[in-house]
Amino acid sequence: MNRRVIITGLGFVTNEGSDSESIWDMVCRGKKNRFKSEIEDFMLPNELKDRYVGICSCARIGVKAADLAWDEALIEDSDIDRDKWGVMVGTAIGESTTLYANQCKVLVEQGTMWLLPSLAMNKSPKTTTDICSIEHKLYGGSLTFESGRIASGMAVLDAYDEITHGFLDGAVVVGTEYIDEYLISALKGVGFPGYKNVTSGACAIVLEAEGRAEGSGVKGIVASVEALASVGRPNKYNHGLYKSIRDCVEKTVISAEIGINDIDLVIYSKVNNPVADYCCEKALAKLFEFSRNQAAIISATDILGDIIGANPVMGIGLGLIFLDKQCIVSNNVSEHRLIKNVLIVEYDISGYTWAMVLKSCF
Amino acid sequence: MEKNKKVVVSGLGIVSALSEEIDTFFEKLCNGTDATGPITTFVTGNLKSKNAAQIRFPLSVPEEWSDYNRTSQMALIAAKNAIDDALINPDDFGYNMGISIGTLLAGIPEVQKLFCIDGAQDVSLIEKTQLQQFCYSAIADTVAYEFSIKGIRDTIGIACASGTTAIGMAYRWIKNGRADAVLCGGVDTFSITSHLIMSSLKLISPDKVSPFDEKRKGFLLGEGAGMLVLESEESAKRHGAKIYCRVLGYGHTCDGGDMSHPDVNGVGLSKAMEKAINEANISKSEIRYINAHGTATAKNDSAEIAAIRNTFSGHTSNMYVSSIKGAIGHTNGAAGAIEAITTVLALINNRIPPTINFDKNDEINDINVVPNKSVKAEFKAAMSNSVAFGGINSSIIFGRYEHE
Repeated sequence: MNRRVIITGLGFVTNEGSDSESIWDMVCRGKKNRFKSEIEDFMLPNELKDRYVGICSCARIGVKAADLAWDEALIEDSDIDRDKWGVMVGTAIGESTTLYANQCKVLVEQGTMWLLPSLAMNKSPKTTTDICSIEHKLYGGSLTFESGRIASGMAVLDAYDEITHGFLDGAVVVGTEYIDEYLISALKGVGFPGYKNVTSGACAIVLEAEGRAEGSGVKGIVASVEALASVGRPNKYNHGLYKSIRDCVEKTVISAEIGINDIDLVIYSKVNNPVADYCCEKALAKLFEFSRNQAAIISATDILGDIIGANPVMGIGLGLIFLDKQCIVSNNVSEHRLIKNVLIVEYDISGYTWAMVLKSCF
Repeated sequence: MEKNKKVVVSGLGIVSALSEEIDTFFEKLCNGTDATGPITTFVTGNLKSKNAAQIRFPLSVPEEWSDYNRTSQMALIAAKNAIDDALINPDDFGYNMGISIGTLLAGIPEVQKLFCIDGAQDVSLIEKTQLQQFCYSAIADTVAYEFSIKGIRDTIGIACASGTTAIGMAYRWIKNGRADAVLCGGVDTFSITSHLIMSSLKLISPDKVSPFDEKRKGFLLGEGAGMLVLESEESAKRHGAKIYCRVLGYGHTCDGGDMSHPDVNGVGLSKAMEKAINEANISKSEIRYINAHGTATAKNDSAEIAAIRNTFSGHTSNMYVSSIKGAIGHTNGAAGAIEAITTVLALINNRIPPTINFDKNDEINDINVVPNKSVKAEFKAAMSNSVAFGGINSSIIFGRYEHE
């Protein structure tokens, strides 16, 4: 069984807004120089705050993004078999910096007796997944991916595979990351030059097998998802990155049964390592230098900031907006362009690369 | 991608409180050895629960891995043993060998120890190399680097079901043609803060762990790593691996009910077992051993028994159930992987390891919980279950491999 996988819902929570128009405004305004690390406060419904006491910020924004995507997918109770719908969440850190630093502080300052459940409950990286499964009554699977920068990409890959092969009919896929003061300190501590660009945010999409949703309810088609690596030392730039980006893109395009020439737009996320980012730009420029469609190449992190593990789903979200607008923005000027196929590429500095082809449904 | 490939287990590697060596581990398990004892890495003073299943022997860490934290070292040792056992050279696979690793805490206990016990108390005072290993994905990235594994790679973080799920995912990748071989499993080290929080929830036993017993009092935290090499059957045959068994099916579900307690009737776990059985395409009577999650907590054990009854109604008298958490504690993200290895060893040795400290439980007389000493039994298929906070359930089925 090989089924076509479509996207029917999209939800954002960013510092600049939680709807597609706000994100499009950011695209039109072009590159930002400074991002706020923490996200503006927003309200979760009271019943959720009461039910999940002390819920961490990472889960709050993840759950909110999932709710927005779910609402947009217009899923009725009678539409789906909930045993065949799951939740997949990707997050690199999942705010565990706050979680474990607070536990340490309590242990050191107050003693062993004060290590209480309230220091852990509703605060782990998998809290978003658990709450989404419970609130939307989805019983088919509940998975949290913690694969660094590729985390939410692996969530998409798993959902895509499970739906393609008939193990699931659909899934809510979320990328969420919350940047706290401890994470900023840790990033400075390890000498990460891009700590000023990291920002909190969440994006969710609803993936499902073709059939239920029709017409304008279908936002895009997932044509292929691939991941592979060169094997660099963790957290160190690896010169094999260039090859792994090229190989991963070529594999993804072949799996989508199209050619490089058919790609109209490339969206990638910078990792804020100048050598690695240059390497990616060079690889993409080389791949598309003779592209018939003169594919536009944009960096999602220049527009939205670096949301670490959430970047892959954020890139898909951005791709869906471009498919809807059928426009390319260059030097703050938008220009109508037929966009049929969007390639989304993510990588880490050690060479692990993920790519996906998103197709227009028209 | 070629689909519906047959998947086999060709390599096993373990680090547990019983041993780093597979045969010794299984022998001790079958003899009823109890690896639990007093916590050695923290002054337990007036704590009510002072025991854990920590590894009390030095890990066999080569010099070149000495900069890695203890979690990565355990993963690397188990990975090396599994890769050596499978007689594979990851370089030969190019992009077609992957990694799938489950963990709950990753390198966090190491950083917490530096923070709380060694007195760093500020992120800036913690060594750069330790901070870099804080990230969950650092374990899989380190294993990939050390063994030159270039394919698809993930880190699963769904608490106590992480290990089983990581193996299930690896199985699907091979079956669906994403990889020819995958190194998969789980790892976690002992965490004093987890011990204290679990104690306050009254989930930690004050003394021994007695899964399924009517007087069970909870679990003890353990530590360890379990790694398996899964391959497509043709890949294993091509390079002459000894094949332990087949992976027949995998099921994963969510109760979708409560953040901490399992469904009292084990409905979600029952669905996970049914999914795995359907994929395996075997009759329920062929499964004669279940390596249970069996945490020895009141609610988990009764829900799991209910799930087994629901799923295997009419077959339970012909089937054995055991939990090894009495012997090696609850190893969190590693639990499912170590228990999967135990299930494979039970299958190939025709020997079912016991549930140590089990005395009696009149409420489950219909279930053959194997008490204290192993039993001999020949069977074609066996199942391993894992359950996690959030109502997460995973089941995996291994089947006998008939060598030609």
